[in-house]
Amino acid sequence: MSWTSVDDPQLGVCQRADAGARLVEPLDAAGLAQLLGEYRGAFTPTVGPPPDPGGRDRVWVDLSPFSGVGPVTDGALAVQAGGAATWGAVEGHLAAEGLTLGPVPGALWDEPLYVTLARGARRRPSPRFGELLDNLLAVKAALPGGGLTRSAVTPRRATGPDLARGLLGAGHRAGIPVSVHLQAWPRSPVTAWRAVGFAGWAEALHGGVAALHGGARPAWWRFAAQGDRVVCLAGFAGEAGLARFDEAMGGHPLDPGLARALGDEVFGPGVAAHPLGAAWSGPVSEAIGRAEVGSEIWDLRPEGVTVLGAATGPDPGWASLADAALGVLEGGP
Amino acid sequence: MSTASVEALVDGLQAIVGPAHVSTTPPDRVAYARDLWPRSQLDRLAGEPPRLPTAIAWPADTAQVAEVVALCRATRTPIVPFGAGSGVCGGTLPVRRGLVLDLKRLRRVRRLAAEDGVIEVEAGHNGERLERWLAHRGLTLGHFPSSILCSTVGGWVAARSAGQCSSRYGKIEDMVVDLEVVTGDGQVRRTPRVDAGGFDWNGVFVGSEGTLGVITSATLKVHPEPRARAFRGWQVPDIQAGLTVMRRAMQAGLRPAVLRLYDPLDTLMVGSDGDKKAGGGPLHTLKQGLLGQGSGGGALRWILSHPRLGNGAVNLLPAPCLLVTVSEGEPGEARATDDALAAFAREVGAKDLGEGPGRAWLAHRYDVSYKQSGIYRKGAFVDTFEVATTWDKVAALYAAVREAAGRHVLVMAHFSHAYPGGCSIYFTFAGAAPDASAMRDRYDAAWQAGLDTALGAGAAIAHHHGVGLSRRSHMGPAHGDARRWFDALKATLDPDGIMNPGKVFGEAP
Amino acid sequence: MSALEVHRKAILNCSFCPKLCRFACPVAEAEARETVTPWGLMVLVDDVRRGRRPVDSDAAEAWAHCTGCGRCTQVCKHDNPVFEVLKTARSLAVAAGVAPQAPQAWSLAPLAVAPGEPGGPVQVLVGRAAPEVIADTLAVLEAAGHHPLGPPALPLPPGWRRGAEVGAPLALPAGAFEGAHTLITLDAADAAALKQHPAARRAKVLHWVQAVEGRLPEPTAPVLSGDALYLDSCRLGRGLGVYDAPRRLLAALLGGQVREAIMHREEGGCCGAEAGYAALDHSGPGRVAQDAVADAPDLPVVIADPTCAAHLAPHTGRRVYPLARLLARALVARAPHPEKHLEEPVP
Repeated sequence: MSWTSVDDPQLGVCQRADAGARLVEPLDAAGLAQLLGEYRGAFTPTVGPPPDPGGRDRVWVDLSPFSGVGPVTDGALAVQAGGAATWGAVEGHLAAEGLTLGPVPGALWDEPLYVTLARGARRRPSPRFGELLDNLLAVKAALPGGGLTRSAVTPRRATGPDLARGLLGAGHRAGIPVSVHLQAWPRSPVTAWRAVGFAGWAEALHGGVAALHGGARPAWWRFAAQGDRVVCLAGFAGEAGLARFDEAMGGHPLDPGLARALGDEVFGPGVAAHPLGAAWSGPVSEAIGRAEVGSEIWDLRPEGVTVLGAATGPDPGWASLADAALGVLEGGP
Repeated sequence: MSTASVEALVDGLQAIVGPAHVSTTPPDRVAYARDLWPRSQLDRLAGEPPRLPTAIAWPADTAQVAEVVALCRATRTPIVPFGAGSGVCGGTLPVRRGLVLDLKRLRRVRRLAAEDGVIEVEAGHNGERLERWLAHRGLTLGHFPSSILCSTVGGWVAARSAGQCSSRYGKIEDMVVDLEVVTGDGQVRRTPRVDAGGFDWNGVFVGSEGTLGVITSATLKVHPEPRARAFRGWQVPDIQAGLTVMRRAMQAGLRPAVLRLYDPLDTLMVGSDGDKKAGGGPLHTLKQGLLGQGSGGGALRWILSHPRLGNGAVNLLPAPCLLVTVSEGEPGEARATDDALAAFAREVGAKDLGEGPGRAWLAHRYDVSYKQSGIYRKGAFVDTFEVATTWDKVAALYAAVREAAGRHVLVMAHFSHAYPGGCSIYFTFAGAAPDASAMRDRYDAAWQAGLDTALGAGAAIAHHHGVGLSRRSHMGPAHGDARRWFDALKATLDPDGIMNPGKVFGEAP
Repeated sequence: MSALEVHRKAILNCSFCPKLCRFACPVAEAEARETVTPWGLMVLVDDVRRGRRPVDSDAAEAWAHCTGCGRCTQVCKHDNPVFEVLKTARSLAVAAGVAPQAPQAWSLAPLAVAPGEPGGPVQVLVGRAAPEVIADTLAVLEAAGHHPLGPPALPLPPGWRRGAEVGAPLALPAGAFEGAHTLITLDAADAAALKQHPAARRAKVLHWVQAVEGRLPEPTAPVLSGDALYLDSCRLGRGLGVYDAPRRLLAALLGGQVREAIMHREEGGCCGAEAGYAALDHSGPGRVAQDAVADAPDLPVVIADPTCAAHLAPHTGRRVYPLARLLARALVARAPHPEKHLEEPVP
């Protein structure tokens, strides 16, 4: 099925369609679901006019109706945002209420949520606030072939497979998020910075793990090679184990202003993108061998670490399996 | 299945796992015909014969599991993966008969990499034994479900389990690094580490309850055993005050091991010192009966047969509740967490009860499951019903479920498994009726009321017990068209629909 | 009222329980089979009690899968006497003629009384131990000041222990133990059975470890140069409450330390040798033995009961020593390389 004009019955759920119906803007979530259900071709979501409309074989769906942010649920501090809202818009909305998502990498600041979710991007260097997707309380999405998912806004998934997670990291083929609930946090008035130098990666990473085991929870941190040493820069929001960080991290204390500067540089609006997508993840013991001069480690956990700049693609076997499931979801063989 | 088909299946199974590891004997088939779903207990009391599996097989390793799955594909034999049968939702009932695949011979620790904070352990490993094995090495998973004495690693993952210390260590899905799964197409697959980005296959298999494949091993996070613990009990003015303490603690980034708030009846049951010995008071008989103490069940049955009266009496209980906290970790963190909790508690006017309630909780942490026998023995029934929701809805959901289910059963609850966004409510309900049939009706009515209420309130209809058969009816309404996504995964991973049919979402439409 | 009805409370406690003793049961863990958990066995008993199934060979076979180690009762908050109920169930199977062959034959070996004076004040009942272990134990007892040696005495008849483990008591010969004030056994299971037997009512019943503890000279040199793993026999530990004495005896024989299994002392499991379980034609008893040492370091294994040692050695592939053998070596051997004498496995 395809469309020829905005007068087609299928387009009755749109508030706007361009002359050739190559760019449609649904009225609401139900309208988007209906569009996806009735049009069997591939959609490309966008917000506003696409930068490059492409040929007549492409249909763009303008998700502008899903750009709103708010309200924030009292008590739970769950903020609702449309799938097309940007991280920066969400954080800005929260800031006005004395809340925060935690550190938002600058590379994501202007990215709509649906794009991040489609990429499955989950990393941010925040032991205190967790990964981005740790803070995802609910997703409502329009599915290919029609229909809307529904899930309760809950602190944890609770029944059966995590179907919300199944929508993530699958491009736009698994569905288009129209509404997202994210965990917000009270914005702490107290901040502190630390910078520590180490002789090498092993010492630095082991120190970091010891700090975590000791109960330290930096709001963000980063490990990077600088000259002949490895430097850990960390920022703290609230108490969150600052004393225990100091206790556990050996090495040589450096000027904490370094960390403050980095925090300003990497998080928040108006900064250069960081290559969040190119990374190797694995155990700490292997990471020590992989990390080199120029490597950066943001996401250190006792059970694993992400080394930026050492990209590995998705496992081809699992990628093809995901393709097969998506094919079924789209109504294919 | 025809006799010839059964014989062919058994022959095939014996060729794979060895004759000693396949059974069709009546005692084995009876033992595997049910798990610990209380509804099955009521069926048994009513003398209803269970639906028996055709056979049981005990594979020794992943390769044998894969061969068994391939055989079952070829013969269109349903497979029910089975850990230790401690589930309370009927998730392992062989509703389409077929093969029960007991995984407990897969019980090796494949790898412990303490320096990398992970252990890979096979699915059939008993939980308590694993925790002791780790403790011997100064480590812990931090996963302490009430069923730890009688459950397996694979069961935890399959049913989306949560332990008593989940506020610190997370639920099982937070602990999984990767999984080895034999999917329903017979392939052995290892999921990518979740931090590799992209599609979250761990999230797909966790909670799938055997409907997509057989989990054969899991790589899980391990932690150093805590070197210090701080115990505390607080008498909070009322439920809302206790919830405020829990919420503020979690949103402040604290990671207490235990935050456990008892409602007034559960506070009475536990005792203000946290020790479950029966005391005096107007509800003494009820308390004694529910604790499995005392002889004879007449009084208990009478009270439980009149739940409106019982719940009405509970409404007259004093509002103050017991909040138990346990903080642990390195000494500095345990102390700092305890101090911060104390500050939040004092702000709501809580009274410090000292270490006693926390220590008593630790000493008796698994005792509640022993009470169940005493209640059934006295001709009544008991079950638990856990839901989860956000902080703004917790108190209202608690009241609504008490009201709805309380028409059929006596209801009490505690609040635990706290997160920054909300927590779980763990309802315990008990009832009685004149005969086995009426008991089942009352039981079913209580569940229906509880699920309807949770769903209507926008809460999650479970937290960590899984879906099985007991919640299946409400999965569609709870997830909407997301079910199609499950069906797509199922069609891909289990193309013949042999994996634990009838569970989680039920049969595909 | 059926014989099982007296156990109604225990049976219901178990059959409505969520298998909370599962982790503790060595047989359930080794066999990985729900049917042989205490819960599974008791559900079968309950089905018989309710008349829902007969006492048939299937049920009897299942009931044979218990070593009577008592661990389930120990961890149970109801102190549920599972093995006591199973003894009643087993006796029903014996009466119905459906008990598997092995349990019917179990305990049929005579419990020989050691060479000694018939009717003497101290009698040593040597059970089923191998001749060399009997000789070692007698030597140790003698060194501890017990002097029962003399001509052979009256053996107890085949099946004498059935009263304790099947619930179908056999009478002992008239005059058994008459005049004895102390009965010493090599196996703790025999001591436990004797304590329940009317014929032994007037005598003090001791396990040999109890009889020698504190009465032996200090060894002059280690018998084993390094560490050794001490395993608790379930009957000696949980049954008689004897945990420290064998450890103290062993510690004096080692150049190294007494090492422990992860679950030991009160939490110790079972080797699988007792209550007729080892006589089953089944792989379970061997796996129970393997489990008993599986988590422990690869060290020599020492255990006080000769029946346990004899069961552990062939199934585990470890060097397994009855404690009495090591003590005997310490008493008689002053060799420069004592462990050379102990390389051979226990027969």
